[in-house]
Amino acid sequence: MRNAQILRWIVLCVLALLWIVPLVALVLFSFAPPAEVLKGVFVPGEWTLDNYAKVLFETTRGVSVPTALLNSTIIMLLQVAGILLLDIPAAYAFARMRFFGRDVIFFMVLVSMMMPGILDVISLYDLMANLGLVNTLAGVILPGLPRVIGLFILRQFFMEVPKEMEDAAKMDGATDFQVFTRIMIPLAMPSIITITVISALYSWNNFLWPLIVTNTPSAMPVPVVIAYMSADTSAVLNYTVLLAAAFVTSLPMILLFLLGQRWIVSGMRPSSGIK
Amino acid sequence: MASQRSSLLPYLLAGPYVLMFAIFVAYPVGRALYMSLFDWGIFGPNAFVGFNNYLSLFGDRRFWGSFWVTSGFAAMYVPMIVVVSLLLAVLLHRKLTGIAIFRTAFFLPIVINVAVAAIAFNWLLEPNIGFVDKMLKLVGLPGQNWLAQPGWALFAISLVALWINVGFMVIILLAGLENIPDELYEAARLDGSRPIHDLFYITIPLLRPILLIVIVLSIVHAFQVFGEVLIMTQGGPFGSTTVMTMLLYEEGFERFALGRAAAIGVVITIIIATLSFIQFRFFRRQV
Repeated sequence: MRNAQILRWIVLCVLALLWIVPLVALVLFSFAPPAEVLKGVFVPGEWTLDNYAKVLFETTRGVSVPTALLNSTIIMLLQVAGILLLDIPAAYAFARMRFFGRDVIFFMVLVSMMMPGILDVISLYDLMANLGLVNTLAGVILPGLPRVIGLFILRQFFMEVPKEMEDAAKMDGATDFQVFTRIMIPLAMPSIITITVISALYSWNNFLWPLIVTNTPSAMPVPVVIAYMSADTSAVLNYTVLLAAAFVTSLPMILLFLLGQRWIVSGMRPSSGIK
Repeated sequence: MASQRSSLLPYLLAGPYVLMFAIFVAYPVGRALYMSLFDWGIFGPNAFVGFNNYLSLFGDRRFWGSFWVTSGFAAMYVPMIVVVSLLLAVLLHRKLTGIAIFRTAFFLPIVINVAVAAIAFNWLLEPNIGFVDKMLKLVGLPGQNWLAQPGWALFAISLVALWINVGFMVIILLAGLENIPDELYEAARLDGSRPIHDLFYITIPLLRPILLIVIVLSIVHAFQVFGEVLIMTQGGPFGSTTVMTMLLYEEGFERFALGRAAAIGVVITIIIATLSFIQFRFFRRQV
């Protein structure tokens, strides 16, 4: 039994090392002069902040990493706020109220969850072009608002709240709306935090749609700018700059992960939604 | 009076979501089906062509090429991620010194976006100067120009997708493992069962519904793989990594054959739906 534990520990160590090496290497070499990459060493021999100076203060071919960071921050804040404002009331209505078309609409929402994002990028682009929203932050943000996952997690939660709580509040003279705002929302706080965290993650890292709806660097969010920079022919010569840009733009999400790992994990567990 | 007001409330609460869903999900999906029936250029529809977009796809070698490339990708990626995530979930399930650090190592890639992962691996896979070649040299094996060779490029991309997605699958499997009562393992141990037997006679059978979710999700991911390909190989070398989503992207945004691109999207969706359906039927009979 003892041996089995040691074996388990060794296997995990090897695999964890494999998994973490790409990120550790990325961080280390983002602090190295470009020549260190060409030398083919595992750890840089010299250190510099030049890559970060370039990433944070220079604009090449219209690409500015600070602009991308700003775009992503605005997109994330508005998208998360929008998702919460749409999801919380809708989930409550779907879970505890009767209204015309409720089950049909919810079935459609469920079906949409299983459709690949690639299905409607063409028509969505066409729609956005007609609305004049290509290369705008609104164009990036709007299609991400009716995300299904938050609605699903919250609906699940609201369905499990006992009817007695609602009845007791109504005995005390609360209206339906007050039951929702004063009782249900505070109760749902853990689920709401989970949705906030996983929505922020989705918003910051989403690649396909922002790639399609933005084509001028000034409108691009972070992942699209990284892809755009990597397509530059001089990227290979400047790997270290690219790595610095990659690290700077990943840092907010790495911090979010370290602070909110348990919310991320709870948002991805099958019981909470992804079925 | 009060009931009158409360009967409006659900519409006020659900209305905004439903409206946004209608505009940005339902309508575009319907419109994708509609567009796929037209010769649709950058300035709008040119002519109604019925199912000709689909028929011409089925007669197109590039389409079948992308179909087989995607299938090849799925054939490598799906078994790999199922085996690795199951192995990791079993290893990470019970208490162990440093378990939180181990979990963090596998979960961290979840928060790294595909562009960052792709450039990191592009660098690690560089011939001669990349870590992969350097490590191989240490143990006396020859290096490769991984992403420039048709045989290796798709495999390299499947490893990157594995690196990114395995944490997500481990989370799902860990949730399933928690539901298997410990007493089963204790009873098995009293009967002299070895850990490897536990895996095949207790863990995997009881984990079947969750494994099904992992397999279906992985197939769905595999048929949608895109960012890794776009950044790492752009579909090359010689079209050997041109997956179906990549073909859709080229048709739609490089050739502006929007109707044809929409048809590819519909075909991808039908493939994913069919495979998921078969999986669920097959597994339900087994359980």
